[in-house]
Amino acid sequence: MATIDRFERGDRSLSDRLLGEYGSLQGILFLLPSLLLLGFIVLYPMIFNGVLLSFRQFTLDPALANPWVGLENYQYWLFGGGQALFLFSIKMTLLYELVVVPFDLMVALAAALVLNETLPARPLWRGLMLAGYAAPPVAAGLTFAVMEQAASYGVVYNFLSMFFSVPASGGITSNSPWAFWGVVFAKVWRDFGFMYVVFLAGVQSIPSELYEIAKVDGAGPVRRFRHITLPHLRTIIVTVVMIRTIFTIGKVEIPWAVTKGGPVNYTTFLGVAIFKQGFLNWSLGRAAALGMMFSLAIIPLIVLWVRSETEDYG
Amino acid sequence: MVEVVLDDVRKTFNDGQVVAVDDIGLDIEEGELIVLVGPSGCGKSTTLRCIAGLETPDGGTITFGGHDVTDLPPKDREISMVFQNYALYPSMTVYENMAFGLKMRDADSQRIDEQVRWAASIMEIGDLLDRYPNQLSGGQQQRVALGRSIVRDPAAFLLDEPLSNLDAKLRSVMRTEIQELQQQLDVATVFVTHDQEEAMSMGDRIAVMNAGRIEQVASPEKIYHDPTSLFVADFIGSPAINFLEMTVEGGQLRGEGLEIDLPTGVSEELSEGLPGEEVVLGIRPEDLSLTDPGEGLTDLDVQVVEPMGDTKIVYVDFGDRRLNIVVPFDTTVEEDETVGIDVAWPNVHFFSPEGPKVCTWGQTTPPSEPAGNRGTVADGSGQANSAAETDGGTAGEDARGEASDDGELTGTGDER
Repeated sequence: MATIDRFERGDRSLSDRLLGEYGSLQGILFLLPSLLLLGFIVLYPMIFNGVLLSFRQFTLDPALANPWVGLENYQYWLFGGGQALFLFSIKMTLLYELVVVPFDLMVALAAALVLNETLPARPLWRGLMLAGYAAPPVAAGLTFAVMEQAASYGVVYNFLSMFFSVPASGGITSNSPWAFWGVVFAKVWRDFGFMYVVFLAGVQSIPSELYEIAKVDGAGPVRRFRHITLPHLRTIIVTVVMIRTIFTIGKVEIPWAVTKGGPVNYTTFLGVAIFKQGFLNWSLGRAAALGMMFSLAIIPLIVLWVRSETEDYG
Repeated sequence: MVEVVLDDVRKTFNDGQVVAVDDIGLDIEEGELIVLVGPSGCGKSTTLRCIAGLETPDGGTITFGGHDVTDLPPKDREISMVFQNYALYPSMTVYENMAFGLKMRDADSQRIDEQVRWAASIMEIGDLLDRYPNQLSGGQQQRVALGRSIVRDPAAFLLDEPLSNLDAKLRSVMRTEIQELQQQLDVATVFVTHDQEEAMSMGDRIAVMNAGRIEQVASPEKIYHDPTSLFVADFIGSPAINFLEMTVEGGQLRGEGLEIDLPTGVSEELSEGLPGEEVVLGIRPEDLSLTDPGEGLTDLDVQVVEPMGDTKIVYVDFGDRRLNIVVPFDTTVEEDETVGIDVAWPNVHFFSPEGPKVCTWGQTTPPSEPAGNRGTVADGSGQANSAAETDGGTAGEDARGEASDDGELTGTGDER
């Protein structure tokens, strides 16, 4: 039967061929409920509150008209008055990603490796590592903002001033290169729990015999890490780095809680820029346009992620 | 090639609450294959791990060729190890797996290549060198693990249940291969297994372990035919040895309605060796035989017959004990049939209820001839019959009568 089908392929209609290639009609029917639900909660808002909104001069006041302005909102960001902020914001967002994700990765991996060893009260330490991840991001951000002030309670400030000269006025959060790091610390502390849990599970799944045979073979701790732990975690690392990269770009809570995007626009990363435009300036059309461009920009990352996922199980 | 000596090695866990290895001593000679066998949790793997250096003993010493290695890390002991799940590095090819140990010792690449190819040719895995472990079958992974372990030319070979993950057929093939390999390399080898058949078939010597202690170290034949304790007798042998609890009174064995006269040597050794009157008889299934009803020691009903191919296992209930009897495959015996049971007395072991063996019927001092034994049983029965007042009653009388009538104590089953 299969060979006959193959020879007859040229005569079949497009829909038949698609079904033949991607599954049966039955399969699509099974998928339909979830597709409908996803369409309603993802696609509908994205098109009506995102795509269409980005072509309007939209405000929240129902008394005002929301005229169709075409590509004006996009022009504003790409070539008009918003260009400087747009470009600066992209630069800072990339920098933020490049610092936060590896920092997050290193802290999480170190924590997972340490807590995989036999320690006194290990369950307690394992649980404590998740405290950040359990905290609401805004609360974590505000707490860090407080700890980053030049005051007796500013533990982060006081610690950093032992090594660097951080201006006392405004502390870490209101002085330009430091504010960036102020956000980074809060972000990493709040978020590393996710990678930590995934890594800990990954490390625990490595058979102990591998380490033992490596000891017999004469490999020290560094070589054991390089030749056993790291290869074992490789696919996990790729996946969590992808997820973290995608989910860090648009996040607003922590940068907003720590610095409110300041000083001036220094920590106005893309997500913060959209938030400010929409809910501080109430210019929702421009915010939507920025959001659309942001969505397009992360599509390649999502494709990469999906590809890495399907490669593993394909 | 070195001799490995364990001296009073002790290893505990949980702050001394769990004693895994309890002051054991063991000499493993150059080129010898010794099998550590015992039930799970008996300390055999911990002992092996102490030899490997993966565990540090709490007390005692381990020497390799006279050098104390007790506190040396595994890499400085020049041992090699094979685990039950092979523990191949999943991210490395077979070649890289085998080369890893030499690479970690900074051997030059030419030597690594020579050694890997040599080991691969011995293990017949030359065509697998570019594959990854997940592309190999269980048997191939096992060969790679063995190949990896011989690449470094180790001073001692440690194998921790290496055959347990293989199917029965492959296991028997690998048993032979490991033995051949071991003979070829002539290296002191410790093989850990919980499978007594594997132990019997492989070891030059077997060390039977129980609860952290070594119960007996001896050749497989000696372990089987001359176990020194109840535990060893019970653990080694399949189908399992039959135990009968009886009492020794006035030179006689009594229990379950039987009264059996003991030869002088045996009764003397028992009276000296037992803490009380209780004794446990250990009788291997092949030392029991079937006779026609009324012609054996006693008559019993057959409960189950299991044909095993070359033999049959016949199960009969004796008091509250179920006895296994191994008979030749062509013996005609049916379930629910009543049969006579006979015992090859010279091979019967007598254990103290506390565990240690007191004596074997046929090995008492002065050694008594098998014929003499038979005579003693027959004669003794007669004496008991006329003299002593016993609780044995009619059943005892019958049994004695049968024993005295029976000319052959061994091999009667074959005649059926």
